[in-house]
Amino acid sequence: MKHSLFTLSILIVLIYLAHSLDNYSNTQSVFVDEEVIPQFNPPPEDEEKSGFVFSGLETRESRRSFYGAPPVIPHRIGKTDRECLNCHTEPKEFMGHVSPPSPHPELVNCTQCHVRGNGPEIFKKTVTIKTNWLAITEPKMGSRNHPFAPPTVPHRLHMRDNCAACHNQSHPNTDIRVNHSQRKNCMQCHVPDYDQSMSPFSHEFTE
Amino acid sequence: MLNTRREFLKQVARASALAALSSQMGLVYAMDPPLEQDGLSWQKAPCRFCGTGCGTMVGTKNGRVMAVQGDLQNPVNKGLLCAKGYHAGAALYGRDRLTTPLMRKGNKQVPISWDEAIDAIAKQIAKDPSNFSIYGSGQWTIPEGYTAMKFIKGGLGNNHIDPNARLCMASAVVGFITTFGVDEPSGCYDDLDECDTVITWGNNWAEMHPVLFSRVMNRRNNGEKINYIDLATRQTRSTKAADHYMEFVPQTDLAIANCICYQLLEKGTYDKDFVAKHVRFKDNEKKDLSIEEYKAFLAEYNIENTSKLSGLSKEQLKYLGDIFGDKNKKVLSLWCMGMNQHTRGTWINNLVYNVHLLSGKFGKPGSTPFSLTGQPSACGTCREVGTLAHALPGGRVVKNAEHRKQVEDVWQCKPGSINAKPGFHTISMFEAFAKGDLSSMWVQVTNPAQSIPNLHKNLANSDKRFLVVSDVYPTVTTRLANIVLPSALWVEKNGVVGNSERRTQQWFKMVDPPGDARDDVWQMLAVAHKLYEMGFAGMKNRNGKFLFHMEDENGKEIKSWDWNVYKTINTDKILFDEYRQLTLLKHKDIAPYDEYVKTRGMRWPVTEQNGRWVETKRRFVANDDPYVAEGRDIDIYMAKAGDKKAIAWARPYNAPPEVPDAKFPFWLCTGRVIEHWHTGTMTGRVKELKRAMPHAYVELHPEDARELGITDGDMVKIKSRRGSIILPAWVLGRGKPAKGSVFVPFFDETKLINEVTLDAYCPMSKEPDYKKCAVLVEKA
Repeated sequence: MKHSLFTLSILIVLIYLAHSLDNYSNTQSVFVDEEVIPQFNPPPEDEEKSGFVFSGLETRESRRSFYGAPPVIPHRIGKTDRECLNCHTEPKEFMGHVSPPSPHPELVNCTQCHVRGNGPEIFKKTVTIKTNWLAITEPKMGSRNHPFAPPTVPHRLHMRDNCAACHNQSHPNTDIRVNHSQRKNCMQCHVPDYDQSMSPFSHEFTE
Repeated sequence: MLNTRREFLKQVARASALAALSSQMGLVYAMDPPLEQDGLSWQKAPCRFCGTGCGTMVGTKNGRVMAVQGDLQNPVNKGLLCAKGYHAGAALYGRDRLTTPLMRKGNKQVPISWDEAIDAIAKQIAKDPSNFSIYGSGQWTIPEGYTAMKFIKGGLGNNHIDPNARLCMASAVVGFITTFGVDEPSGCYDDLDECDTVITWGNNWAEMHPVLFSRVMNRRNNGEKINYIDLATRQTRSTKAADHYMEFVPQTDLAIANCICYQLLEKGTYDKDFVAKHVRFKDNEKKDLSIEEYKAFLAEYNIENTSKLSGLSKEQLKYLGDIFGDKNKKVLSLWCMGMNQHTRGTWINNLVYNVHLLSGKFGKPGSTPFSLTGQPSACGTCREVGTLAHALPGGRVVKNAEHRKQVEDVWQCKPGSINAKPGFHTISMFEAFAKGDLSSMWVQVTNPAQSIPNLHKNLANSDKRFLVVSDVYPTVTTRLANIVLPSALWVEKNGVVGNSERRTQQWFKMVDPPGDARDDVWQMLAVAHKLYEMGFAGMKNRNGKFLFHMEDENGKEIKSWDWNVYKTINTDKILFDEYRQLTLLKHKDIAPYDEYVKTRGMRWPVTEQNGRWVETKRRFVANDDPYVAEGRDIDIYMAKAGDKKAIAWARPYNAPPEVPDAKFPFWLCTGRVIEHWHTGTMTGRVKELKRAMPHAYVELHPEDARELGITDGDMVKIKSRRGSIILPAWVLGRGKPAKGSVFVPFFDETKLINEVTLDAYCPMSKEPDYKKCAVLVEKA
């Protein structure tokens, strides 16, 4: 009896996982003809409510032109890039928002790649862009070899090899948190499923 | 692993099948197998935008670009891009892409067929070939510029071709030629990794060459000591990283450079050995000077006088003198438009070379002057191919009979086809167009109705002339055109470009252009062939064949003018390999096309050594440059006098043509912002970039703003003797101009700052000064 209960529970887990794996297959979103301003969750500058604001993969995606693009900055910025790292080295709460840490704080010229989501305040209105741009979406979850296997890393590691920066339990993006970030040595169990040998992003350039 | 290898073999097989297919067309279409990942195939291409020439990997699927990443294998950027680069793919997909040729009929531009368009252009040219002109671009690929050059100089026998690079790099070119006898820098980006002191001369590289900026700043962040001196007239994002910000009065950079030379000679801290071996002195009349005579010329630029003139403190000037006088310092000078867009642009280029030549800080790792380029192929196309009114490929000039003959022989055009008289340079070309001295103009890959200075004057009547514009989006220029031709953009066509550090990079077409848009090269080949069919003599070569005659390996003619044939072949390879023969004269040797397919670009001179094609890191430098003579450490081998010496010119300070006065009390400086590329036609179609910086603004010094009662967001009128515009003020924004000056970016087609700017230019380089004119600023 005990034995069959155990088998049953295993089966249920398997069915559940198989089902969820289906949901994790990569899809493509179509960004066509965007309507005016904030595509993303209202940034702090437009918002005066209290309480923490958490976000998920949808928000994450809305801040990027395509999977792999640097996200836009959803708030006002200071004058020097040094200020960015005041908040973006570890999750910090500010006016109800939590700052996601940068996975590559060693690169100091932040505004080289990250631009404001909305332009400077001197422009009273934002603009509408008519575009036929189609973007690839963020990968969802890595594949598992078998139901109990740790999922693989479904994204490139270039500039994103500091796992804790995004997957920490205190990260504002609730969808990508892991429940055991205290274990630190992520790559012990999670290997990239991105075919690194074929990837143009996998190896360092050597002269 | 096995999987990977199988995948690779599959792709090789596919590539060779393709090669076999194209060799039936007569061409071996060398192919870098695209890498597949994510369901996307990834291929290399240099970035579409600035002169840095970063490598990107472009991800495509179902015939569309869907992602762009930095190319880790490219030594220029090592995997990193900037905001523009990452979004280059989206620039292809604006809803208003031009997809069909248009012709102006009455007040409307109506769609026409390609045949009609080609026919109309050919007929217009045949009517008046000597008054037809081409206005091109530093964003032309090498084969595009080469085709345009051969079309007009070989085919039409006139020299009225000039690129927008005239507005951008001309002063650097003449600076190089006058000092070193040949164009383009000795240094390279490796110097960014080795310098310990960086001086930018009027250059906001944090926004304009961000990848190079962060290459140095990341070194500092890793604990290396980098001393950064920002010599400027405006505080910018770059200034935020500077150890020393030195604000000078516009135009006095001439005096500051002379003052550094004065100190080196006065204190005896100049590199005596280097100067004796590699430098000679000349005055403005080209008369030789002894070092004593040169020193006497410099006496005027003592610290006292220069401090008064430039606004730099005596301590700052002394500091600069000491930096260059210190033998142990590795000093890298960088500049771009601040020095080039200057009514004495050639002189200030010469003077910065003087500083480096006297201090011996030349050709050493990390210690050299390095001129940055604005556009992706201003070097490759405009300077090396030479798409300028006076030039021919490979550093040749139309005035030289021997040069003309060499080019005619390669082009196989009839002897005497090339005209010895230089054509109109950019500003004079637009003046002639306004006056009617030129009857027709073909504009490709640029937007002059927004970017030419003093628009009212220089674009008067241009809607009355015959104007053909090839572009990818509607622009202020296409609106004036009689005929608009829809072009292919970036990875919608093959391309080869050359960046700031002499690196030539190649890419393959990855997706089809939208609708009926077609390559710029094809457009010119089609018009040339139409002229040939009409019996136009210039389009026949000396054998009676089409000027752009191309053959497959069986000797059969390729009908390159037929789009259905053109789109299946790689004309870039044919044109590039033909052009290659012309690059050897001035040791600007480039490798065969196929070699560039295999690499992330190579820096010329590229020479074949033991069966391998080897690039040159530092030009004129022993052990790097194969043309350096045995036993020399530095060899200025193209020195005009044949003495292998660079010339230090005694160039005086010269006041700018327009300075602020009681009526127009402010300096106006124009420029770019990180989000947008030039006139914003491409970046303005990218949601992320356009939203980040939707419109132009005027930047004011806070004290000036307070005096004028202006705060952030107020509408402000900027007025000069030539025109005026109204735009919002940004007082405590991204930058802070010097007191008494304002800054306006030029990317916004709804706020044309070039209606206000002055079109005075450097008499030697003919490059206009967009950085200085006098304006009135008032609350609108």
